[in-house]
This record gives sequence, C-alpha cells and structure tokens, in this order.
Amino acid sequence: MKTHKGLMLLATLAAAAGITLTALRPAHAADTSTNRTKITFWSGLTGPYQKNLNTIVNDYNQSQTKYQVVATSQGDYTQMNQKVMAAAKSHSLPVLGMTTYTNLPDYQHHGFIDNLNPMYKGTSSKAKNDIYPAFLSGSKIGNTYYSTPFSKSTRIMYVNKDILKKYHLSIPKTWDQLKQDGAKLKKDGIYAYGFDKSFDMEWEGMAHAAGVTPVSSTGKIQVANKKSITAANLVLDMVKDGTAKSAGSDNYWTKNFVNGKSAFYIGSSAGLTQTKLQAPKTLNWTTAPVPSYEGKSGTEVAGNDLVLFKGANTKQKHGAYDFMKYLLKAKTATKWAKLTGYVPLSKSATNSADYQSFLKQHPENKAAVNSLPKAFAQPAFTGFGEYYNDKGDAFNSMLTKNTSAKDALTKLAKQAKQITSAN
Amino acid sequence: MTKKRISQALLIIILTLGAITMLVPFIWMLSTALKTAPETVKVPPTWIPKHMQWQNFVTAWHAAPFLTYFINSLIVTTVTTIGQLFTTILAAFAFSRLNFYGKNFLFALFLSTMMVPGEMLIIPNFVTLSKFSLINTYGALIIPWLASFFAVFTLRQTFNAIPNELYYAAKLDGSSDWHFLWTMMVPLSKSAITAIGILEVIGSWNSFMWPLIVTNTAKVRTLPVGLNAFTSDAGTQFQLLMAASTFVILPMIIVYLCLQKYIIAGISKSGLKG
Amino acid sequence: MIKQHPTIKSTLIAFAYLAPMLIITLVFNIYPIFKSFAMSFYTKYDFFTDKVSALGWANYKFIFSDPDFYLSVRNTMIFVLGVVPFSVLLSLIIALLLHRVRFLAGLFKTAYFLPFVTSTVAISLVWQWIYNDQYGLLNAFLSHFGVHPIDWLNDPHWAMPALIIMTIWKGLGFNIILFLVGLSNIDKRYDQVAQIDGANAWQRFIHVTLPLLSPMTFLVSVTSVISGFKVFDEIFVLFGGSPGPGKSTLTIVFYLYQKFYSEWKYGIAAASGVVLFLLILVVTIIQFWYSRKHVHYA
Repeated sequence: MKTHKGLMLLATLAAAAGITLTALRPAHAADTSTNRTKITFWSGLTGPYQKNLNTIVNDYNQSQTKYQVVATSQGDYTQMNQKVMAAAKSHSLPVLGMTTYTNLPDYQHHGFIDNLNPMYKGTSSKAKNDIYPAFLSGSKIGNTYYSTPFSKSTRIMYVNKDILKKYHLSIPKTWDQLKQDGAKLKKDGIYAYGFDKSFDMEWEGMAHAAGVTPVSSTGKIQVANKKSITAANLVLDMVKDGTAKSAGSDNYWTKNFVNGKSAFYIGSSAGLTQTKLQAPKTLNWTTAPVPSYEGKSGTEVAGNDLVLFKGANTKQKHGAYDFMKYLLKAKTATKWAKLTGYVPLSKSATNSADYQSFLKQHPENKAAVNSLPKAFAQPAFTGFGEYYNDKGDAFNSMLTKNTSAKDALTKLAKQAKQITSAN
Repeated sequence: MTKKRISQALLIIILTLGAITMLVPFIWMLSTALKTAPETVKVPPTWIPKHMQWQNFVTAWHAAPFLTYFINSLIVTTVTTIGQLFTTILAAFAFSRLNFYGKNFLFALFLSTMMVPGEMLIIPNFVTLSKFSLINTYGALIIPWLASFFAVFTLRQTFNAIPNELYYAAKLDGSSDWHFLWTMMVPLSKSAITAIGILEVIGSWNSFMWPLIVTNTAKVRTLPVGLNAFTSDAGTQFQLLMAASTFVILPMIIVYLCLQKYIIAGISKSGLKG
Repeated sequence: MIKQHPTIKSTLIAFAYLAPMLIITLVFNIYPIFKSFAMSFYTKYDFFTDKVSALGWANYKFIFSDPDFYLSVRNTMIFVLGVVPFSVLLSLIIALLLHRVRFLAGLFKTAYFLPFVTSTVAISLVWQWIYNDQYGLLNAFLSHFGVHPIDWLNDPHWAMPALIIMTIWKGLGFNIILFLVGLSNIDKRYDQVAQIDGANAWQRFIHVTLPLLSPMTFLVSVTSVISGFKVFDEIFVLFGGSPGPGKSTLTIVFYLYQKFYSEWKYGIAAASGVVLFLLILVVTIIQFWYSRKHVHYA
C-alpha cells in the first residue's frame, strides 16, 4: 500500500517534469509578417488606453508595407520604468518606448536612448512649428531632440455648475477670485478648491506666471525664491482656513468632486474620462482654464513621449522615425485625441474640422485645448527623478506636518542644488 | 456536558466576531463589483447596490485576455507548486535526517536568502534569464520559484517531529533512505505538505510584479497582470477592478476548500497507527 | 536528530538530495546577493555597459549620513515591533480556538484564511476606502464609541498604525495555517496522558501544547520578522506610491526602491540592501540563539 502511494507520487512528479519541459519552450508568436521590419514598442498604457493605441498601430501597419509595429502594454509608468531598467541591463530593450518627458535627461545620461535629430531633420520647419511649443520644448535636451510628444495632457479646472448656481458664483478667472469664493462656500462645508495629492503642479504654474522657474535646465534654482514661497503660501493659507483640500491618499480629487465636496477642482485633463464615468447623471459640471496668477496664465503640460532605445539597427531606426512621424500627422493626432481624451499634439490637429466637431459634442474637452497655446513644460534635468521624490516630500510635509512653505522650499532648494551640481 | 456546551457556544461567538472582521473587506469588494461607476464613489457608501450590475463581470472579463491569463496562471501555478514541493521534500529530508559536511553552513546560507528583499533580485535575475533566452516564456515565470527555503524550513520542522525510532526501525528492516522518505515521512507529513502546497499555490497565483517584468506579451502573462487593465494615470475603475479581483481570488478559495481537510488530518489521526 | 558523524559518502548522498534546491538557489538567490554586495562598493559605475570605474565606501558613508536612511531604519523597526508580536499571538489564539471548535470549523477556517488568499494590490485598495477619514468604514465604526474621525492615511501619527493593522489582518491566515499544522502534528496521546495525570486544561496548555508547539512558534516568529523587515508592497499601494504622510512609512525597502528605480543610485540602493540584510541577520541569529534554550523538539 505504502509503496503504491510512493509510486503514484513519483508518477505525478514525472508528469510534472514533462509539463515543465513542454512549458519551457519559448512561446514564440507565429510570425505571419513576411519580410517587414519589426518595430517593438513598449507602452505604459493599460486597459482601454492600450486598446486605443492598438487601433492607431493597426492603422499604421495597414498604411504601409515596410514596417510592422508591435505594441505591448508593460503595466503602468512605475512598472514600465522598472522593466526598462532590467531590459537595459540585459541589452534587450525594445525599439520604441513610452516615458514621461521628465525622464529624458536621466535616460540620456545613462545611455538608454538615441537622439532623434535624424528624424527631426527630415521634418519641415513648418511641421515643427505646428507642434505646440510646450510639447516640443519637453522633447529636447539642450538643442538635441530625444523624443516625440505622444499622450499629453494639461492642467484644467473642473467646475461644479450646481454649486455655482446655488451660491450665485461665476467661474473664477484668477486665484484671488477662487480664494474669495472659498469664503462663501466654507460655511456649508464645501471647499472652493480641491486638488490631487499635492498642489506642486499648480505651484509651478503660479511660479511660471510670476516669471519664476523653480529649477531651470541650466541649473538655476529659484525654488525658495520669494515669489515661489508666496505662491505656495496662497494655497497653504486656503488649506488652513478650510477653503482648499488635498485628496491625500486618494491621489485624485475626482471622487470628491463628483460628490460635490468642492466647487472647483484643478487637475489633469487626462482625468476627464474618469470624471465622465464617475459623475452621477444629475450632476452639472464643466471645465475651464486654470485661474490666472498675477495677471498671467500658467498651465503646465504633462504626459508621455516616445523614445528610441539604444540597440536598434538602421532599418528599425528608420521604421521608428517613420512611425513617429505618422503619429505626429494631424490626422493621426486628431484620431488619437478623440479616442483617448488626451490633447491634440499640433495646431493643425486642433483646427481640423474633425476635431472641432468633436469639441462641439464634448464641450468639456475645450478648456484643455484652449489652454495649449500658453501652456508650458517644466524643464527637466539629469537627476530629475531624485528631485521629483524630494519635491513630493516637501509638499507632503507642508500638507501633513504643517511645515512652513519657507522651510520646506528652502530645504528643497538645497536638495535641488546638490542634485544639479552633482550631475 | 453543559459546561462543554457553554464553552463551545462562547468559542463560536468569539470566532464569529473575528470572522466578520476578516470578511468585511470581501463583502465590500463584492458589493462594489456590482455597482455602477457613480455609485462606487457615492457618499455615504451603500452596502447593497441599487441596481445589481452583473454585466460588470462580463465587461471586466473582456477588458483583458483573461482566458489566456487564466490558462497561463493554471499552468504556471501547477508546475511551480509541484516542482517546488519536489525540491522541498528532498532538501528538508537531507536537513532533517542526513548528516553531512557543511550542513549548518548550508542551512545558514539558505536561510540568508530569505533576508534579501525581492526588489534587489529583480534585475540580476532578469539578466540571468535573459542570458538563457528565457524572457517571455513560462520558464521565466517558473524556474526562479522552484526553490523556497521557507518551505524547506517548515517541512524540516515537521520532519524533525517524526520520532527517530521509526527511522531506525526502517533502517533495520533494510529500507533505503529514498524509500523511507516517500513511504513514511511524506505520508506522515501530509498536513504540512498540503499547507506548504497551498501557500505556494497562493503565492504563485497572486504574484504580480515578477510576471509583468519578465513577460512582454499577453500570450504568457498571468491573471494578476490583468488587474492592471483597470487602473490608469487618471484614476481607477473600481467596480471593474473589484469584479476582476473576484475572479482572480475565487479559484484560490476553491483550492483551499478542497484541500483544507488534509491540513486538519495530521499525525494524530492518520499517521502512527497505519 | 541522528547523532552520527558525517562521512564523505553520507555527504555525497545528502548533496544528491539537496541538488535541485541548491542549483536554483545558487543561481537565483545567492548569485544576486553577491552581485548586490559588490555593487554596494561601486562608486562610479555605468549601469548600461556594466563598467565599474571606481570602488570605495562612499555609498555606505552616504547612507549613514542620510537622515532619511535613519528614519527608514526607525520606521522599519517600529513596523516589525508593531506587527510581529501581535500577529503571532493573535494567530496562535485563533488557531487554538479553531482547533477546538467542532461546529462550522471549516467555515471559520476559510474566513480567517481568506485575507491571505487575496492579492495585496486589490485588497490594499479596499483598505484605502476603509481608512478614508470622511466616509471610511473604520471611522464610522469608531464613532459609535465616541471616537473622533481619524485621518488614518494622511496624518503622520496614524499612518503607521493603519499600515500595521492592515498587515496583521492580511498575514493572520498564513500564521494560523502554520499553527494548525503544528497543532495537528502534536500527538494526542501526550495530552491524554496529562489528562490522566490530573492536569487541568490550562496546565495541559502550558506544559504540553505550548512546548510541543514551540518549533512552529519559532518558525512563525522567524519568518514574520524577516517578512516584516522586507515590507514594501502594502505601503506602495496603500499610500499611492508615496512613503506615507511626512515619510511616516518610509521603510528600508522603500528607501532602496526609491534610490534604485527612480533616483538611479544603484550603489546606494545596494548598500542599503546590504545593511538591511545584516540587520535581519543579527535579529535572526538572536532568535536562533534564544530558540536553543526554549524550543523543544519531540
């Protein structure tokens, strides 16, 4: 009886070993494409966004016969970043990848990416000028191009029209007005201004409007500049007197906005899709450009670019250039913007009849597009990843530990100085 | 007799209260999975959805190639678990019953592998697997997990509890180590082996970061990777995420229910007499 | 344990048994450890080409002058001390109760085991909602006892307790199952003998069950401590990728993660990994030393 059991176990194990051996064979995709050059493309998009990307990629593959772009999702941006590091180390990077433009200097510094000058050289200056300057400036390190803009968003203000009507308010055009509205809403426990986990992007916007760049690409540091501190204090004062509130661990204020916790919410235009999904049908809401500060607007752009990883051969490089150019075409950019809710990449895409009729149907998408001409990109620099963590800590400490703006920003300025001088 | 009854009733009351605490998050998960998007963020939250959204499960299932993921998870988990049990049983036997040079050193060396955070191992292991061209294959998902010192440690503790007399008796009967291991030690440690197996099944099934890193395409990806489909840089579709989580968890609950009776049956019942 | 002296033959036999485990461990665990150890001394290093141009102690000097690193060590210690004793004690009690209950035993065991079955990512999101200060379940429950709403996840004083509670909840099932195995391994005859000798339930627990369970208690403690020191996933999800309000849940692994994956400081990350390793090693050695006196094998 006992030997029997033992034999059974051994048989199971042998079977298991068999399965292992069959399972270990590399799962190669059946290569249907004939002699097309394969362009592998890793994206940091998931779910419906990746599906939309596949639509665009299929369009491209059908539009020509030389190249075959294969786009695969590699999780969200943090996961994708880990993966890129692992692949870089084992020299198995794909041809194309997606990354936030702020990663460019670090990628370049560590030799992960190739420059895109050849591609941009083949682009007419007219076509280049057509791309919104905020996007193009993010694609450059010094005078060298390293990326093409792709999935982009801007900061916009979400407006709860029901609250506006009830309290006879109008959409605030300036931060001062936003602050005044706060006083009227406070007594009923409604915040005027809700923001995401941190308000650092709004701070950068205000600083930009006041003519200050916290950390410039040349390493000039104005993080703890008087104007920077004043801008941070404006929001902190609102938080203190209960007219502004952070989303904290929720990360996004969207949930609170759709529940009428605040009259206004300044966040990314990429959040439009979620807001549409989550808002109850009874809620009347719209969007508007971010309020101006000291008479000037300051809307920061964010989002992802495409980069060409090192290690691609000439054929693949040419394919990558071709695909990138295809994405920048007004027609493609329009389709992409309509599918995803990201903003169009060029003026001609925005002005196309196709996109304009889309805006008529979706007026809430207008604010983002209208902010584009005056939008700006925060300069990135080598060591930005570290600065980004330090910035997160500084704003978190102002919001959760009541550190004064002056103390937190002075510390951040010191850290920024160390980072920029070390690289 | 009544005293026993009272103590049993008391026991059940305490355990029920605890069980409720453990279950609340799951009830909420199910309830969220059946809500509309606006209802998931409603304040105050509702326990029973106004209109049950059963189609959320259908939507979630179609949001990613879940059938492929499911089959892959099944293959990876089965092979990993069986393979790991095999290496574990052999190693635990060596540590428990055999004497050899370097035993303590090897035990300490293995133990030290538990002390390294997984985040440190990702890159070197990725490079190794890439050298063997195993990236984007089942091999990458299985091979690094075929050895678990935790499992060896656990089984050694159980093997140690088996009286030496049995071993000597078997040796006197002319039984080999190999024979003794599979006919005596393993059956006597059924409960521990089942428990280790369950823990391994769960660990392998829920593994998330590693499968994502070492696979590039949906063809070889596993279920938890599919959970990614519902989060984006602009928020999470909670109702779909919770629906998807439900069908990621469900198979594990079934496995546990099927195997749990083996955990209870230990030496005291099945072992020494037979 | 067999008290025989090892011979070359017995060693060869033993290594044949150990071989499958040994090969995998050497390749996927030991080798990376040595790699990381070496990397912690790289002060000038090209990650992409794997070229090392300078070696030294600079990475260690850096972390030992970085207040954030000290903070992460402190937070990790607090976490381990907050989780391990409670988790071990609670799971021991629950396992004992489960071992005794006759009615609905299967149902109860499933309920207690369920949290462990779940993926950390999904269930941490559920806990985020439970901890919400305005409409979270926990505050609603506490308000019945007159407790004012606590901003669990955004108040630096409460973030760590929130993390500890969730971790205990999630890990209980794992420990309970190990204790149940331990309990089922105890020969019932010991208990019967004690009963015949006239020992009451408490005496039998102290003098029979507890000593016989000590190998498992030891195992549970050692593994809980080790996994406690390595905490990361729970924090990453619960606090949305940040090290908690005011860095209150910045642990060593979180520090390592930030240095490695977003700050490109491989050497520093590796150095902090080595320090974590040594820290766990010391604590584990202490546990083994203690166990020599107090753990009884039948």
